[in-house]
Amino acid sequence: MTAILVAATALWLGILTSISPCPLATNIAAISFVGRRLGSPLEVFWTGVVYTLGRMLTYVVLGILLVASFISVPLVSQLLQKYMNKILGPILILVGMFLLEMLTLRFASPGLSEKLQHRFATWGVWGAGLLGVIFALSFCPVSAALFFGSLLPLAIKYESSVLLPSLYGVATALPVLLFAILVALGAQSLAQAFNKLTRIEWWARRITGAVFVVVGIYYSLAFIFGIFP
Amino acid sequence: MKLKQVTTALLLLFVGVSVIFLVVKETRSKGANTSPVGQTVPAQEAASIVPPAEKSGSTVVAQANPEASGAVAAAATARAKNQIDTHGRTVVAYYFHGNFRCPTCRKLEAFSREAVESGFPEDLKAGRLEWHVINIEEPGNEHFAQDYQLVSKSLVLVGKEDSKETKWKNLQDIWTLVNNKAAFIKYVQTEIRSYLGEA
Repeated sequence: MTAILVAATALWLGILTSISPCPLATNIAAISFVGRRLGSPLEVFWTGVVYTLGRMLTYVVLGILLVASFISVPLVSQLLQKYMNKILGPILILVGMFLLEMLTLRFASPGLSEKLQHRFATWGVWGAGLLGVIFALSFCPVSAALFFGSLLPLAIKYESSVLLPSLYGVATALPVLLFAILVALGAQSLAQAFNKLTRIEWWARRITGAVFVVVGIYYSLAFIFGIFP
Repeated sequence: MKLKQVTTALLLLFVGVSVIFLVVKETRSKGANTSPVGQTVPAQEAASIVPPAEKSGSTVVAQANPEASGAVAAAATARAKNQIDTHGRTVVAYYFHGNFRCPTCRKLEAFSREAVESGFPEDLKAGRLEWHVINIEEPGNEHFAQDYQLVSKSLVLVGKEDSKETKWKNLQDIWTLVNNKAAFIKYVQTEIRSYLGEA
């Protein structure tokens, strides 16, 4: 009974993190990234799953390191909050510019393009995992308090450095995961309804790029220039 | 296509300026930290370094002496009060924050202050309870993070016997109660009451 209660608490802490206003901007960026390949429902689904795994993995690694007390909890928390959000802005702007094709990687041989397209599709799925890791590490006050202050003591008390952080990680990705599942289920009918999916995808990709650039500018202004204190 | 090129150039410029600004700011603040100003400052002194926007946090200290005004006077009052209260139990409620202030954090601070000011006006007046708002990213305040194991914005109660710190508690549940103001205030007041020994 206690085990279920503790697991539910870990999930609840994750949900509280995901719905609090402070990770909202990164959630919006993640949702638009996951949903941008509207035409391939399966890919949208896997992108959502891999994003969730990325977040989960981050919290598990932090959980293992911190439960084993290799490093000081306040120090890690303060450092991640201080620096991750600062470097996130420029990273998001650059990723957005790639999505908008403002920046392109030039390749010598044109014959490679089809292979590359395929590789980019796979890159998109793994990129979501990387995005999950980066977004999970970008602790804001709410997620830092709930992870380092509430979840970690629980993990230490019950000697659960893997399960509890995993549950927390899945719960923090819940809005994105739910969106991915809904899109995967609904995209087929949407495709039939519009019959113009390539066009929709073209727009989805651009909207995603624009969202990344806007969120990136917001993060830079807020955390580097301190404009929205 | 010209628009795209201009936008690209502007965005790259923005990224470049951001990175340079970040690097310069970080190297400067590192330099400042090595100066003697960055050394530990006693808690009472630290309270007087609270930035002007947060000064209202020191109002309870100022109230104890209506003639006093400004940070220096507030700190002096705090010291004077310390001498008066050398006997018996006192409680200090600290709200710790950093340079970045999120909407939830402002709510935490406002609710905490309300819980303190509405629940214990007599204790505040008598100096049995103090309320301080501290920016832990300001030089001299960094030690609070280690002292009270701070992982985020926090409300910490410090119990003192004969002005010696005997115990402290981080009121962690404020984060799960922030969406329920009544429960938040009740929780904070119950904790303070038990620290004051009235429970």
